[in-house]
Amino acid sequence: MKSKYLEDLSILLDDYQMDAFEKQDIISDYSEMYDAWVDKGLYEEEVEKKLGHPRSIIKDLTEGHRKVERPLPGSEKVIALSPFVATIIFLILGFGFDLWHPGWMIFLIIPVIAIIMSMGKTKEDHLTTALSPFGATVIFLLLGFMFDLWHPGWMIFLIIPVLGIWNSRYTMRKIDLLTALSPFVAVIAYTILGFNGYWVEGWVVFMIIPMFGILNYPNKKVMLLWELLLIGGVAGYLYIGLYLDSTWQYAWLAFIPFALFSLYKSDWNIDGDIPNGYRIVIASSLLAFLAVGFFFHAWVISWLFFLAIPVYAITTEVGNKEKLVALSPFIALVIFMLVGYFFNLWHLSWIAFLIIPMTAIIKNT
Amino acid sequence: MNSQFKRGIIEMCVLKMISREDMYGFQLIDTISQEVEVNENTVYPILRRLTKQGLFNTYTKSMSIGAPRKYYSLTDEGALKLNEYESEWRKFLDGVYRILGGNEDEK
Repeated sequence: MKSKYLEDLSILLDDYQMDAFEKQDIISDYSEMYDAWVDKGLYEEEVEKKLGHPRSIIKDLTEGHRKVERPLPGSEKVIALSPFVATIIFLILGFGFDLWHPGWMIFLIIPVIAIIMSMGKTKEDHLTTALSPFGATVIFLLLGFMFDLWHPGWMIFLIIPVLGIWNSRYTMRKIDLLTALSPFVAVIAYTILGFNGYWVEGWVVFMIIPMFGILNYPNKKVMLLWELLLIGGVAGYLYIGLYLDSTWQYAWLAFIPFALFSLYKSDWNIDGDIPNGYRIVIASSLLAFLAVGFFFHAWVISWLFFLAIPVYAITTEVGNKEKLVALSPFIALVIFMLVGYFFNLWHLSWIAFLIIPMTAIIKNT
Repeated sequence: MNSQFKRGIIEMCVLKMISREDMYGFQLIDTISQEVEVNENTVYPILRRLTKQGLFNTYTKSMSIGAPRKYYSLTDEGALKLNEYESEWRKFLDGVYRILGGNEDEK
Protein backbone atom coordinates (compact mmCIF):
# COMPACT_ATOMS: atom_id res chain seq x y z
CA MET A 1 0.00 0.00 0.00
CA LYS A 2 1.33 3.43 -0.87
CA SER A 3 0.96 4.97 2.57
CA LYS A 4 2.76 2.02 4.22
CA TYR A 5 5.53 2.15 1.63
CA LEU A 6 6.10 5.87 2.17
CA GLU A 7 5.85 5.46 5.93
CA ASP A 8 8.49 2.71 5.90
CA LEU A 9 10.73 4.88 3.75
CA SER A 10 10.24 7.85 6.02
CA ILE A 11 11.10 5.83 9.13
CA LEU A 12 14.30 4.61 7.52
CA LEU A 13 15.23 8.13 6.44
CA ASP A 14 14.77 9.31 10.03
CA ASP A 15 17.77 7.16 10.98
CA TYR A 16 20.04 9.46 8.99
CA GLN A 17 21.31 12.98 9.59
CA MET A 18 19.40 14.65 6.80
CA ASP A 19 17.51 17.91 6.93
CA ALA A 20 13.77 17.72 6.98
CA PHE A 21 13.41 19.43 3.62
CA GLU A 22 15.54 16.82 1.86
CA LYS A 23 13.64 13.97 3.52
CA GLN A 24 10.33 15.46 2.51
CA ASP A 25 11.63 15.95 -1.01
CA ILE A 26 12.54 12.27 -1.29
CA ILE A 27 9.16 11.17 0.07
CA SER A 28 7.40 13.54 -2.29
CA ASP A 29 9.38 12.19 -5.28
CA TYR A 30 8.55 8.60 -4.38
CA SER A 31 4.91 9.53 -3.91
CA GLU A 32 4.89 11.05 -7.38
CA MET A 33 6.59 8.00 -8.93
CA TYR A 34 4.25 5.63 -7.07
CA ASP A 35 1.20 7.43 -8.47
CA ALA A 36 2.69 7.48 -11.95
CA TRP A 37 3.25 3.71 -11.99
CA VAL A 38 -0.25 3.10 -10.66
CA ASP A 39 -1.68 5.38 -13.36
CA LYS A 40 0.23 3.30 -15.88
CA GLY A 41 -1.82 0.30 -14.76
CA LEU A 42 0.51 -1.54 -12.38
CA TYR A 43 -0.68 -3.17 -9.17
CA GLU A 44 0.73 -1.82 -5.93
CA GLU A 45 2.97 -4.88 -5.42
CA GLU A 46 4.42 -4.37 -8.89
CA VAL A 47 4.97 -0.68 -8.22
CA GLU A 48 6.82 -1.43 -4.99
CA LYS A 49 8.96 -3.95 -6.83
CA LYS A 50 9.82 -1.29 -9.44
CA LEU A 51 10.60 1.33 -6.82
CA GLY A 52 12.50 -1.12 -4.66
CA HIS A 53 11.91 -2.16 -1.06
CA PRO A 54 12.76 0.81 1.21
CA ARG A 55 15.48 -1.23 2.95
CA SER A 56 17.14 -2.05 -0.36
CA ILE A 57 17.21 1.54 -1.62
CA ILE A 58 17.92 3.40 1.62
CA LYS A 59 21.69 3.03 1.32
CA ASP A 60 21.83 4.69 -2.09
CA LEU A 61 19.40 7.42 -1.05
CA THR A 62 21.41 8.31 2.04
CA GLU A 63 24.86 8.20 0.45
CA GLY A 64 27.03 10.76 2.17
CA HIS A 65 24.75 11.05 5.19
CA ARG A 66 25.69 9.75 8.60
CA LYS A 67 23.41 7.60 10.68
CA VAL A 68 21.81 9.22 13.70
CA GLU A 69 22.99 7.79 16.96
CA ARG A 70 19.91 7.46 19.03
CA PRO A 71 20.55 5.64 22.30
CA LEU A 72 17.73 4.98 24.71
CA PRO A 73 17.15 7.56 27.45
CA GLY A 74 19.44 7.14 30.44
CA SER A 75 21.55 4.66 28.49
CA GLU A 76 24.89 5.98 29.69
CA LYS A 77 23.95 5.44 33.32
CA VAL A 78 22.59 1.96 32.67
CA ILE A 79 25.72 0.97 30.75
CA ALA A 80 27.97 2.36 33.49
CA LEU A 81 26.02 0.54 36.19
CA SER A 82 25.81 -2.81 34.44
CA PRO A 83 29.24 -4.15 35.62
CA PHE A 84 28.30 -3.45 39.24
CA VAL A 85 24.88 -5.04 38.87
CA ALA A 86 26.48 -8.08 37.21
CA THR A 87 29.02 -8.36 40.06
CA ILE A 88 26.29 -8.18 42.71
CA ILE A 89 24.22 -10.85 40.97
CA PHE A 90 27.34 -13.03 40.58
CA LEU A 91 28.17 -12.74 44.26
CA ILE A 92 24.58 -13.53 45.27
CA LEU A 93 24.57 -16.60 43.02
CA GLY A 94 27.95 -17.65 44.38
CA PHE A 95 27.59 -17.05 48.09
CA GLY A 96 23.86 -17.68 48.24
CA PHE A 97 23.49 -20.71 45.97
CA ASP A 98 27.09 -21.86 45.40
CA LEU A 99 26.53 -21.17 41.72
CA TRP A 100 29.94 -19.62 41.02
CA HIS A 101 29.77 -21.73 37.92
CA PRO A 102 27.77 -21.19 35.78
CA GLY A 103 26.93 -17.96 37.60
CA TRP A 104 29.97 -16.25 36.05
CA MET A 105 28.00 -16.15 32.79
CA ILE A 106 26.03 -13.23 34.23
CA PHE A 107 28.94 -11.00 33.23
CA LEU A 108 27.90 -11.50 29.61
CA ILE A 109 25.01 -9.12 30.26
CA ILE A 110 27.49 -6.23 30.34
CA PRO A 111 28.19 -6.12 26.60
CA VAL A 112 24.58 -7.13 25.88
CA ILE A 113 23.21 -4.16 27.84
CA ALA A 114 25.74 -1.84 26.18
CA ILE A 115 24.61 -2.96 22.72
CA ILE A 116 20.89 -2.72 23.50
CA MET A 117 21.21 0.71 25.12
CA SER A 118 23.51 2.13 22.43
CA MET A 119 21.59 0.85 19.46
CA GLY A 120 18.43 1.98 21.15
CA LYS A 121 15.70 2.62 18.70
CA THR A 122 17.57 1.16 15.75
CA LYS A 123 15.88 -1.25 13.42
CA GLU A 124 15.36 -4.64 15.01
CA ASP A 125 17.40 -6.58 12.46
CA HIS A 126 20.71 -4.81 13.23
CA LEU A 127 20.14 -5.34 16.92
CA THR A 128 19.74 -9.08 16.52
CA THR A 129 22.89 -9.21 14.39
CA ALA A 130 24.87 -7.43 17.09
CA LEU A 131 23.46 -9.56 19.90
CA SER A 132 23.77 -12.91 18.15
CA PRO A 133 27.38 -13.66 19.24
CA PHE A 134 26.43 -13.28 22.88
CA GLY A 135 23.23 -15.25 22.56
CA ALA A 136 25.10 -18.00 20.77
CA THR A 137 27.83 -18.06 23.45
CA VAL A 138 25.32 -18.37 26.29
CA ILE A 139 23.39 -21.15 24.58
CA PHE A 140 26.63 -22.97 23.69
CA LEU A 141 27.88 -22.80 27.27
CA LEU A 142 24.54 -23.96 28.67
CA LEU A 143 24.43 -26.89 26.21
CA GLY A 144 27.99 -27.77 27.11
CA PHE A 145 27.91 -27.44 30.88
CA MET A 146 24.43 -28.76 31.45
CA PHE A 147 24.17 -31.48 28.79
CA ASP A 148 27.82 -32.01 27.76
CA LEU A 149 26.76 -31.16 24.23
CA TRP A 150 29.92 -29.23 23.28
CA HIS A 151 29.60 -31.10 20.03
CA PRO A 152 27.29 -30.55 18.23
CA GLY A 153 26.42 -27.56 20.41
CA TRP A 154 29.11 -25.51 18.64
CA MET A 155 26.73 -25.32 15.68
CA ILE A 156 24.81 -22.60 17.52
CA PHE A 157 27.56 -20.20 16.48
CA LEU A 158 26.42 -20.59 12.90
CA ILE A 159 23.46 -18.42 13.86
CA ILE A 160 25.84 -15.43 13.72
CA PRO A 161 26.62 -15.44 10.01
CA VAL A 162 23.13 -16.75 9.21
CA LEU A 163 21.48 -13.83 11.02
CA GLY A 164 23.90 -11.39 9.42
CA ILE A 165 22.97 -12.66 5.96
CA TRP A 166 19.25 -12.88 6.76
CA ASN A 167 19.20 -9.32 8.03
CA SER A 168 20.73 -8.16 4.74
CA ARG A 169 18.04 -9.90 2.70
CA TYR A 170 16.44 -6.70 1.43
CA THR A 171 19.64 -5.79 -0.40
CA MET A 172 19.89 -9.16 -2.14
CA ARG A 173 18.08 -11.08 -4.80
CA LYS A 174 16.32 -14.17 -3.43
CA ILE A 175 18.65 -16.50 -5.30
CA ASP A 176 21.68 -14.70 -3.84
CA LEU A 177 20.17 -15.02 -0.37
CA LEU A 178 19.69 -18.77 -0.79
CA THR A 179 23.21 -19.14 -2.21
CA ALA A 180 24.70 -17.23 0.74
CA LEU A 181 22.77 -19.27 3.31
CA SER A 182 23.38 -22.63 1.67
CA PRO A 183 26.86 -23.36 3.16
CA PHE A 184 25.55 -22.91 6.69
CA VAL A 185 22.45 -24.97 6.05
CA ALA A 186 24.74 -27.66 4.61
CA VAL A 187 27.03 -27.63 7.65
CA ILE A 188 24.10 -27.96 10.05
CA ALA A 189 22.44 -30.70 8.01
CA TYR A 190 25.71 -32.62 7.63
CA THR A 191 26.50 -32.44 11.32
CA ILE A 192 23.02 -33.68 12.24
CA LEU A 193 23.30 -36.51 9.71
CA GLY A 194 26.78 -37.35 10.98
CA PHE A 195 25.60 -37.35 14.56
CA ASN A 196 23.12 -40.00 13.49
CA GLY A 197 25.89 -42.03 11.88
CA TYR A 198 25.62 -40.82 8.31
CA TRP A 199 29.04 -39.16 7.87
CA VAL A 200 29.82 -41.03 4.69
CA GLU A 201 26.44 -40.55 3.02
CA GLY A 202 25.68 -37.18 4.50
CA TRP A 203 28.41 -35.03 2.95
CA VAL A 204 26.33 -34.83 -0.26
CA VAL A 205 24.24 -32.17 1.45
CA PHE A 206 27.08 -29.79 0.57
CA MET A 207 26.00 -30.18 -3.04
CA ILE A 208 23.18 -27.72 -2.32
CA ILE A 209 25.86 -25.01 -2.50
CA PRO A 210 26.73 -25.54 -6.17
CA MET A 211 23.06 -26.36 -6.81
CA PHE A 212 22.07 -22.83 -5.82
CA GLY A 213 25.14 -21.34 -7.44
CA ILE A 214 24.31 -22.94 -10.81
CA LEU A 215 20.86 -21.31 -10.73
CA ASN A 216 22.65 -18.02 -11.48
CA TYR A 217 23.83 -19.27 -14.86
CA PRO A 218 22.27 -17.11 -17.56
CA ASN A 219 21.63 -19.83 -20.17
CA LYS A 220 18.62 -21.72 -18.84
CA LYS A 221 19.10 -24.88 -20.95
CA VAL A 222 22.73 -25.23 -19.86
CA MET A 223 21.72 -24.48 -16.27
CA LEU A 224 19.09 -27.23 -16.36
CA LEU A 225 21.54 -29.77 -17.78
CA TRP A 226 24.12 -28.82 -15.18
CA GLU A 227 21.63 -29.23 -12.35
CA LEU A 228 20.49 -32.59 -13.71
CA LEU A 229 24.11 -33.81 -13.85
CA LEU A 230 24.65 -32.71 -10.27
CA ILE A 231 21.42 -34.29 -9.02
CA GLY A 232 22.31 -37.40 -11.01
CA GLY A 233 25.73 -37.42 -9.35
CA VAL A 234 24.17 -37.23 -5.89
CA ALA A 235 21.62 -39.93 -6.70
CA GLY A 236 24.30 -42.12 -8.27
CA TYR A 237 26.65 -41.66 -5.31
CA LEU A 238 23.97 -42.68 -2.83
CA TYR A 239 22.79 -45.60 -4.96
CA ILE A 240 26.28 -47.03 -5.49
CA GLY A 241 27.17 -46.63 -1.85
CA LEU A 242 23.94 -47.85 -0.29
CA TYR A 243 22.81 -50.57 -2.67
CA LEU A 244 25.95 -51.92 -4.31
CA ASP A 245 27.55 -53.69 -1.37
CA SER A 246 28.73 -50.53 0.41
CA THR A 247 31.18 -49.57 -2.35
CA TRP A 248 31.56 -46.01 -1.11
CA GLN A 249 35.14 -45.73 -2.35
CA TYR A 250 33.81 -45.93 -5.93
CA ALA A 251 30.60 -44.04 -5.37
CA TRP A 252 32.28 -40.68 -6.15
CA LEU A 253 32.59 -41.89 -9.76
CA ALA A 254 28.93 -40.87 -10.14
CA PHE A 255 30.09 -37.24 -10.08
CA ILE A 256 32.39 -37.61 -13.09
CA PRO A 257 29.84 -36.38 -15.67
CA PHE A 258 29.12 -33.33 -13.50
CA ALA A 259 32.84 -32.68 -12.91
CA LEU A 260 33.68 -32.97 -16.62
CA PHE A 261 30.82 -30.68 -17.61
CA SER A 262 31.89 -28.19 -14.95
CA LEU A 263 35.45 -28.19 -16.33
CA TYR A 264 34.05 -27.69 -19.82
CA LYS A 265 32.02 -24.74 -18.54
CA SER A 266 34.89 -23.44 -16.42
CA ASP A 267 34.41 -19.85 -17.60
CA TRP A 268 31.19 -19.69 -15.58
CA ASN A 269 30.84 -16.51 -13.60
CA ILE A 270 34.42 -15.56 -14.15
CA ASP A 271 35.30 -12.28 -15.89
CA GLY A 272 38.56 -13.36 -17.43
CA ASP A 273 41.15 -15.91 -16.38
CA ILE A 274 41.58 -17.12 -12.82
CA PRO A 275 44.99 -15.86 -11.69
CA ASN A 276 47.58 -18.58 -11.30
CA GLY A 277 47.80 -18.05 -7.57
CA TYR A 278 44.16 -19.04 -7.13
CA ARG A 279 44.52 -22.07 -9.38
CA ILE A 280 47.44 -23.28 -7.28
CA VAL A 281 45.64 -22.68 -4.00
CA ILE A 282 42.43 -24.38 -5.16
CA ALA A 283 44.28 -27.38 -6.58
CA SER A 284 46.50 -27.68 -3.49
CA SER A 285 43.51 -27.44 -1.14
CA LEU A 286 41.69 -30.15 -3.01
CA LEU A 287 44.75 -32.44 -3.06
CA ALA A 288 45.45 -31.87 0.62
CA PHE A 289 41.78 -32.47 1.52
CA LEU A 290 41.72 -35.76 -0.39
CA ALA A 291 45.14 -36.88 0.83
CA VAL A 292 44.45 -36.24 4.52
CA GLY A 293 40.97 -37.71 4.16
CA PHE A 294 41.98 -40.90 2.39
CA PHE A 295 45.32 -41.60 4.12
CA PHE A 296 44.51 -40.47 7.66
CA HIS A 297 40.71 -40.82 7.55
CA ALA A 298 40.59 -37.38 9.10
CA TRP A 299 37.70 -36.02 7.03
CA VAL A 300 36.47 -34.20 10.15
CA ILE A 301 39.36 -31.75 9.84
CA SER A 302 40.66 -32.22 6.31
CA TRP A 303 37.99 -29.84 4.95
CA LEU A 304 39.89 -27.07 6.75
CA PHE A 305 42.29 -27.03 3.80
CA PHE A 306 39.57 -25.38 1.72
CA LEU A 307 39.80 -22.36 3.98
CA ALA A 308 43.07 -21.61 2.22
CA ILE A 309 40.99 -20.30 -0.71
CA PRO A 310 39.23 -17.43 1.09
CA VAL A 311 42.37 -16.80 3.17
CA TYR A 312 44.43 -16.43 -0.02
CA ALA A 313 41.77 -14.16 -1.49
CA ILE A 314 41.86 -11.96 1.61
CA THR A 315 45.66 -11.78 1.77
CA THR A 316 45.93 -10.77 -1.88
CA GLU A 317 42.89 -8.54 -2.33
CA VAL A 318 42.05 -6.95 0.99
CA GLY A 319 43.88 -3.84 2.15
CA ASN A 320 46.39 -4.17 4.96
CA LYS A 321 44.17 -2.29 7.39
CA GLU A 322 41.30 -4.72 7.06
CA LYS A 323 43.31 -7.88 6.54
CA LEU A 324 43.61 -8.99 10.14
CA VAL A 325 39.92 -8.46 10.91
CA ALA A 326 38.93 -10.31 7.76
CA LEU A 327 41.27 -13.22 8.55
CA SER A 328 40.30 -13.54 12.20
CA PRO A 329 37.22 -15.78 11.70
CA PHE A 330 39.30 -18.27 9.72
CA ILE A 331 42.14 -18.24 12.24
CA ALA A 332 39.62 -18.76 15.04
CA LEU A 333 37.90 -21.60 13.19
CA VAL A 334 41.17 -23.44 12.52
CA ILE A 335 42.30 -23.13 16.16
CA PHE A 336 38.85 -24.24 17.35
CA MET A 337 38.80 -27.33 15.14
CA LEU A 338 42.42 -28.40 15.74
CA VAL A 339 42.31 -27.98 19.51
CA GLY A 340 38.94 -29.70 19.67
CA TYR A 341 39.86 -32.58 17.38
CA PHE A 342 43.42 -33.36 18.57
CA PHE A 343 43.00 -32.63 22.28
CA ASN A 344 39.27 -33.25 22.62
CA LEU A 345 38.99 -29.84 24.24
CA TRP A 346 35.84 -28.66 22.41
CA HIS A 347 34.58 -27.13 25.67
CA LEU A 348 37.64 -24.85 25.72
CA SER A 349 38.53 -24.49 22.07
CA TRP A 350 35.46 -22.31 21.38
CA ILE A 351 37.31 -19.54 23.22
CA ALA A 352 39.31 -19.12 20.02
CA PHE A 353 36.29 -17.36 18.51
CA LEU A 354 36.84 -14.47 20.92
CA ILE A 355 39.72 -13.53 18.63
CA ILE A 356 37.12 -12.16 16.21
CA PRO A 357 35.58 -9.38 18.35
CA MET A 358 38.94 -8.68 20.01
CA THR A 359 40.59 -8.09 16.64
CA ALA A 360 37.72 -5.85 15.56
CA ILE A 361 37.97 -3.80 18.78
CA ILE A 362 41.76 -3.42 18.50
CA LYS A 363 41.44 -2.35 14.90
CA ASN A 364 38.66 0.15 15.54
CA THR A 365 40.09 1.87 18.63
CA MET B 1 27.97 -6.59 -15.98
CA ASN B 2 29.89 -5.09 -13.08
CA SER B 3 27.50 -2.91 -11.07
CA GLN B 4 29.90 0.03 -10.67
CA PHE B 5 30.55 0.09 -14.41
CA LYS B 6 26.81 -0.06 -15.13
CA ARG B 7 26.15 2.76 -12.69
CA GLY B 8 28.57 5.00 -14.59
CA ILE B 9 26.85 4.22 -17.87
CA ILE B 10 23.40 4.89 -16.41
CA GLU B 11 24.63 8.26 -15.14
CA MET B 12 25.73 9.18 -18.64
CA CYS B 13 22.39 8.00 -20.07
CA VAL B 14 20.47 10.07 -17.52
CA LEU B 15 22.48 13.17 -18.37
CA LYS B 16 22.02 12.60 -22.09
CA MET B 17 18.28 12.05 -21.92
CA ILE B 18 17.68 15.18 -19.87
CA SER B 19 19.98 17.17 -22.16
CA ARG B 20 17.55 16.44 -25.00
CA GLU B 21 14.45 17.47 -23.07
CA ASP B 22 13.45 18.27 -19.52
CA MET B 23 11.93 15.18 -17.92
CA TYR B 24 10.14 14.23 -14.75
CA GLY B 25 11.33 11.32 -12.62
CA PHE B 26 8.93 8.60 -13.68
CA GLN B 27 9.28 9.55 -17.35
CA LEU B 28 13.06 9.23 -17.16
CA ILE B 29 13.01 5.89 -15.34
CA ASP B 30 10.38 4.42 -17.63
CA THR B 31 12.19 5.56 -20.79
CA ILE B 32 15.63 4.36 -19.67
CA SER B 33 14.32 0.96 -18.60
CA GLN B 34 12.82 0.45 -22.06
CA GLU B 35 16.17 1.07 -23.75
CA VAL B 36 18.61 -0.42 -21.27
CA GLU B 37 18.43 -3.48 -19.01
CA VAL B 38 18.44 -1.71 -15.67
CA ASN B 39 16.86 -2.17 -12.28
CA GLU B 40 14.40 0.71 -12.13
CA ASN B 41 14.95 1.25 -8.43
CA THR B 42 18.57 2.24 -9.06
CA VAL B 43 17.79 5.15 -11.36
CA TYR B 44 16.14 7.56 -8.93
CA PRO B 45 19.06 7.54 -6.43
CA ILE B 46 21.41 8.30 -9.33
CA LEU B 47 19.14 11.12 -10.48
CA ARG B 48 19.02 12.50 -6.97
CA ARG B 49 22.77 12.35 -6.50
CA LEU B 50 23.46 14.11 -9.78
CA THR B 51 20.96 16.80 -8.81
CA LYS B 52 22.75 17.32 -5.50
CA GLN B 53 26.01 17.63 -7.41
CA GLY B 54 24.51 20.55 -9.32
CA LEU B 55 24.20 18.80 -12.67
CA PHE B 56 20.42 19.25 -12.79
CA ASN B 57 17.98 21.93 -11.77
CA THR B 58 14.46 21.07 -10.77
CA TYR B 59 11.19 22.92 -11.17
CA THR B 60 7.57 22.10 -10.63
CA LYS B 61 5.10 22.20 -13.47
CA SER B 62 1.37 22.19 -12.87
CA MET B 63 -0.57 19.65 -14.86
CA SER B 64 -4.07 19.98 -16.18
CA ILE B 65 -4.85 16.57 -14.69
CA GLY B 66 -3.25 15.26 -11.53
CA ALA B 67 -0.67 16.56 -9.11
CA PRO B 68 2.14 18.93 -10.20
CA ARG B 69 5.25 17.20 -11.49
CA LYS B 70 8.89 17.84 -10.66
CA TYR B 71 10.92 18.28 -13.82
CA TYR B 72 14.70 18.00 -14.18
CA SER B 73 16.71 20.23 -16.50
CA LEU B 74 20.41 20.12 -17.31
CA THR B 75 22.66 22.82 -15.89
CA ASP B 76 25.83 24.16 -17.53
CA GLU B 77 27.82 22.03 -15.16
CA GLY B 78 25.72 19.05 -16.18
CA ALA B 79 26.41 19.77 -19.85
CA LEU B 80 30.16 19.85 -19.15
CA LYS B 81 29.95 16.58 -17.25
CA LEU B 82 28.00 15.00 -20.10
CA ASN B 83 30.65 16.06 -22.63
CA GLU B 84 33.29 14.56 -20.39
CA TYR B 85 31.41 11.27 -20.09
CA GLU B 86 30.70 11.10 -23.82
CA SER B 87 34.30 11.77 -24.70
CA GLU B 88 35.57 9.06 -22.31
CA TRP B 89 32.94 6.64 -23.51
CA ARG B 90 33.77 7.14 -27.20
CA LYS B 91 37.50 6.70 -26.52
CA PHE B 92 36.73 3.55 -24.56
CA LEU B 93 34.49 2.16 -27.29
CA ASP B 94 37.06 2.98 -29.99
CA GLY B 95 39.62 0.98 -28.06
CA VAL B 96 37.25 -1.96 -27.59
CA TYR B 97 36.32 -2.01 -31.28
CA ARG B 98 39.97 -1.87 -32.28
CA ILE B 99 40.64 -4.92 -30.10
CA LEU B 100 37.58 -6.79 -31.32
CA GLY B 101 38.19 -5.95 -34.94
CA GLY B 102 41.98 -6.06 -34.47
CA ASN B 103 42.62 -9.55 -36.08
CA GLU B 104 40.87 -8.62 -39.29
CA ASP B 105 42.64 -5.28 -39.46
CA GLU B 106 46.03 -6.95 -39.11
CA LYS B 107 45.34 -9.16 -42.13
